[in-house]
Amino acid sequence: MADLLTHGAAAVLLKSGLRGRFIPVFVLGTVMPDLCSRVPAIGLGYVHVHMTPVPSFLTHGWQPMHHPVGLVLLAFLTSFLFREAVRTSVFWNLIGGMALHLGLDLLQSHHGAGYLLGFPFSDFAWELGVMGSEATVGWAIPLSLLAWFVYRKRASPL
Amino acid sequence: MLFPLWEVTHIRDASVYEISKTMRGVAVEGSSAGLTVGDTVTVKGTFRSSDQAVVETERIDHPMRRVKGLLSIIGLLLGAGLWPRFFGWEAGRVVLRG
Repeated sequence: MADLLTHGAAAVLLKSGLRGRFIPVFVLGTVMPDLCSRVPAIGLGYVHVHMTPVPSFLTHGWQPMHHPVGLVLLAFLTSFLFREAVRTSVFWNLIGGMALHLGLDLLQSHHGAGYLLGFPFSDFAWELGVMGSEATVGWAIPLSLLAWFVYRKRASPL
Repeated sequence: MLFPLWEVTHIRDASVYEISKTMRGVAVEGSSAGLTVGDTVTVKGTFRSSDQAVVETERIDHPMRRVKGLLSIIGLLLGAGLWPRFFGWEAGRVVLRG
């Protein structure tokens, strides 16, 4: 995964550049894969490594929330938290943000460990591998400042 | 065998160190030069059953991993702080603001 700051900034830049609506929902969609999979996995992984053993389903059971099928399900369920009038737009903006997230992550190289794009129907793992997994660190702050600037230039956020 | 993004949790000596993630304290036979406890590494190697150790064939260090984690935490805090600006809760539903 790229860092969440870069993911969020990329989402703001893309959506603002396209002059699209529902920017906050799109950004939410782009951070949800890590929020629902990596954050609990890293937190419980820390407990497992440094405190007390944790069952592997608790440290790795969140992974499907970072794969396409799990993300579609997540977007579908999340959209039901919103009013019916905007539900379809919310769903597609969440999906768009999630697709951007996966697209950015797939650029990375994990030295042979790719992303299980077809899970649970296939164990095919793939990534493009054109940049290191920490390559976005240098971009995060400048990209965030640029995103903030571009967003502020927009008259209407929704 | 591939151990992507595992944490160095113990350095036994100059030629053996331990990494942890899914499993705790996996012994890796390979140079520990330049490593400190808490570092993140990707290890490629083969398994040796006699002493249940991984014999390292390649090690990739990830020195920027902590900075990356810090950036993600900043992103999370920023998102949490901005949440009320863009989202609210009315009549049992999330509403969009702004």
